[in-house]
Amino acid sequence: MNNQFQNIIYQIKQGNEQPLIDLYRLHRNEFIVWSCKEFRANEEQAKDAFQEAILDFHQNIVSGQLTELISSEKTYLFQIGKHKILNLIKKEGRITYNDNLQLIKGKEFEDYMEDENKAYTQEQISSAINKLPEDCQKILKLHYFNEYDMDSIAREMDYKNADTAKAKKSVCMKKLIVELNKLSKILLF
Amino acid sequence: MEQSFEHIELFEAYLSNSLEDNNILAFEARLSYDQEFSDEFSRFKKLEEGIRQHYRKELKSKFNEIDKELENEIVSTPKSNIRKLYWVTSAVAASLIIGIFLFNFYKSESKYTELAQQYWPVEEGLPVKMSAKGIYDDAMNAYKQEQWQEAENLLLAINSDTASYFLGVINYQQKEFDKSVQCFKTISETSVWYEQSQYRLALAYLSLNKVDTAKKILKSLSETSPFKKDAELLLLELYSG
Repeated sequence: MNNQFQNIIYQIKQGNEQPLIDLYRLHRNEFIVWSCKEFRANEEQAKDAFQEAILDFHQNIVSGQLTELISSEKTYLFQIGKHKILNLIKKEGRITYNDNLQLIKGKEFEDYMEDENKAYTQEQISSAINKLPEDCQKILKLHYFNEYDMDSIAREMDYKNADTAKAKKSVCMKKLIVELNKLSKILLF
Repeated sequence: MEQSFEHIELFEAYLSNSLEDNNILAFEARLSYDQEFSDEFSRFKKLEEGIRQHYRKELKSKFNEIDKELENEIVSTPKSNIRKLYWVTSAVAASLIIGIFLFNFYKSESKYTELAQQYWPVEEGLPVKMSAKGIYDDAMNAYKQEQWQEAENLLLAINSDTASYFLGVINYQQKEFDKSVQCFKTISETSVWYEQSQYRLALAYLSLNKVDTAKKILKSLSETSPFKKDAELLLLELYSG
């Protein structure tokens, strides 16, 4: 098995993002040229698709779905990127949300908006995470982005055991909700 | 819009598969009959997704920083192109002194080189296998990083049509069109690289201002050639102007 790829897996599983940055830097320009030529994508679409491809590559490694490659990393990334770009082009071609929304009338519309308002926006969630203590931010990142289990979080954070990590993570989630509710109040007044 | 989450530990336990079987059944049953509980669980899952998206966006913003760096590099390239253009213009002016004939000759040569470049298909190189070391791996790694000289040296040590094909591509990239022609000409009709080589051979000839030879090859491309359509478009351009 290729040592270079195994090293990438190892580094990513250790929470090191540098291999992703290096892969992005190495192949980004070529992907843009290729996808603009092959799929008539514009530069913004190509950039976005390649970023998403790298993120999926990361996701597949941390979730344990990708353990070995039969092609090069570049070929793998270009394959994911290709599907991303085709979806993006299709999606952008059928964006008519605003028009459709205007077609929803009366109570149906109110229910729709009520459902939308119930959920926190991505912006609120990001602001709230940034307000959390550093250890909470790290735990959430290890759990949700790096997909560490509680044993690994305990090791990484130097906690006594997995139960401590689990309890700590719940506390952090509660703190996050408190921050989110504070943000909601600020918006209301 | 304030939201309360009273069952965080329970949701976390369910989602991490750490509930016992009977508790899983009770949890799922409650989801079906308790609307408030079910709504709270949906909101919790949305919140978790939002957290994931936050960290994805965080990494994306690092990629955007790289974009800026790389775009600055690209922006700085035209500056050197301007310098190049200055010298090229001076050279053209000098050639005017030598004679209109030479000026026209270089002008038309540059036009065909540019046209060939527009039609030149990107050759991504062979995939480098992760499972076993192949004879082209080192050369392909160098090729993909555009380390042309190193790739060329490694390929010269291999006697095969694949090596000749990639040598043709590398020489073209280095604007060594004569050498590129020589490499592509060695590819036999039985090679898997033949159709690609023929199309690239025509472009290399075009870059050398040998327009008639290029046209002849482009016309002779087989119907199965992956570049047949490109060849037809190029022929149209060559005949129209």
